[in-house]
Amino acid sequence: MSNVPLTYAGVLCSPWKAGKPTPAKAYVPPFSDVLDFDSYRLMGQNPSVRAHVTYPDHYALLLAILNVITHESDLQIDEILINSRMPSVVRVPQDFFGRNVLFLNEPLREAKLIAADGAHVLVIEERFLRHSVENADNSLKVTWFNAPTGAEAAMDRMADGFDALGIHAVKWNAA
Amino acid sequence: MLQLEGIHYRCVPQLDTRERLSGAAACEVVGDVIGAEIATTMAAHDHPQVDFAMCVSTIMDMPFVSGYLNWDLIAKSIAEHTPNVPRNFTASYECAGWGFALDYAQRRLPLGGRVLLVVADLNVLDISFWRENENWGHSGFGVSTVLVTIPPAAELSLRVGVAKSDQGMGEFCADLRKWLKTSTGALTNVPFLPAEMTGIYSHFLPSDRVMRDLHSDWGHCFGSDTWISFIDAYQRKDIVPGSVYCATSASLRGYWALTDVMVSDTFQASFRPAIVAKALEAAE
Repeated sequence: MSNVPLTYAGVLCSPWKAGKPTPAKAYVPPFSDVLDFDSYRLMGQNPSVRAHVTYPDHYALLLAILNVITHESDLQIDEILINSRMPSVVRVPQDFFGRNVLFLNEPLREAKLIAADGAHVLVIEERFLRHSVENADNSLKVTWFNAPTGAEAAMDRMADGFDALGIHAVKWNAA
Repeated sequence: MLQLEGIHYRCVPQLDTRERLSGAAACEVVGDVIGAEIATTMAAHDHPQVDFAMCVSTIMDMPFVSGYLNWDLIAKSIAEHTPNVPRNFTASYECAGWGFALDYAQRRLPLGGRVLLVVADLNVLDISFWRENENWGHSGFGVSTVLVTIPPAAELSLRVGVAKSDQGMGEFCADLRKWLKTSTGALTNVPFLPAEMTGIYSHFLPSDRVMRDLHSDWGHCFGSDTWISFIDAYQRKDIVPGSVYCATSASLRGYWALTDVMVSDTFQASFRPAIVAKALEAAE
C-alpha cells in the first residue's frame, strides 16, 4: 500500500458528445428584483472557459468517469468521495446510490481524515463548466489515498479511459 | 435505534448585509451564524462529546459553485465559536441531506456514537427565487442543530432512497406508507407544502400518524421541516420521551430519507428567536 496518494489530473478539452443535440437546460433562477442582478454580478466574476457539458450531460459524464474507475479497478476502494457541485437540473444517476459514494464540497478534506485511519479512499474532483456564473476550468482530478498494490497500473488504465471520454491528462504523478 | 437528544431551530430570514462586501465577508457571516448555533446547542447540552458533525443544505448551491462561498473559509469562521466544526458540507442531496449524512456517519462510526447534524438553509445574497416559487410556495430560512446518538450500524433503521420515476414525491409517500406498516413509530413528519399540494399526503398516508404540516406558519424550510415538526410536536406533547417516531425528508429532485428515532429521556427542543438583520434597500 502506497503512503503517497496516487494522483491524476486532466482537462476536458472538447464538447462532451460533440455533434449530438442535447437539451441545454441552462439553470439560473428567474430574476425578479434589482438585488438578483447584483447578486449574480457578485457571483459571476470568474475567468471564463468554454462550457463543454450541459447540466444533464454533467452527470452523464460523471457517471462515465465512475464507470471507468470501477471498470478499470477491482481493487479495494472503501469510499469514493466526489465534490458536490449544485445546482442540478437533473437527478444524480442511480449508480451513485446504494454504494459507498458521497458528494461533499470538500472531498479531499474528508479523504485525508479517513485515510489517516487506513481507509482506501478515492476522490473525484471535477470542475466541468456548465454555466459562466460558475468558477470552473473543465478539470478533472483523481486522488487515491492508501492505494493498494496494483493501483498504479489501474490508474494508468483509468487515464486511458478518461482520454477516451475527451479528458486528456495534464499531469501524471504515479508516485 | 437512533436516539434523539436535542433539536434547536433558529429562523434567519436574512443575512447581515456584509455578505455583499465580498465572498470572504459572506463566508464570515455564514460561519458566524452556524458557529453561534452550534456553540449555543453544545452549551445547552452541557458540551457532550461529538464524534461526527456534518453540515447539509438544500439552497446553498450557486454561491458555492460560483466560488463566492467556500467551506474552508466558513469552517474557519465557525471555529471561532466552537471546536465542534462540521467536518464537511453537502447540498447534493437537497432536503434529504441529513439522511445521507447519517448514512455516511454510520459507515464512519460502525460501533455508533454521537452525531451533530447542522441543517443550514441561509438565503445567501437574498435570491428572490428562494423566497417563494411555484414548487413549494413560500420558504423559511434558518439553521437546525440536531444532536443524536446513533447505535451500532446493524441497529440503525435508516433508509436513504432515490426515485426511479418522474414522480419522486409519490414514490417517497409510497415508501413512507410501507415503512409505517412495519415501524413502531407512532407519528411521522412530512415535508411542509402549501395546502393545495398536500393531497398526496392524504392519498398515501394514514392521517392519524402524520404530524402537522406547518407550511402556513413557517413556509417550506427544506431539510429543517423535519426538525421543526419534531420541536412543534414535542412542545404540543404529541411526542414524548421514550417513544418512537419516524423522521423523514424528501426533495424536489427525488431523494428521500426515512429513519425511526427514539426521543431520549433528556431530550431538549427549542425554537430560538429569529435573527433580524437589517434589510438592504433594493434600490441601492
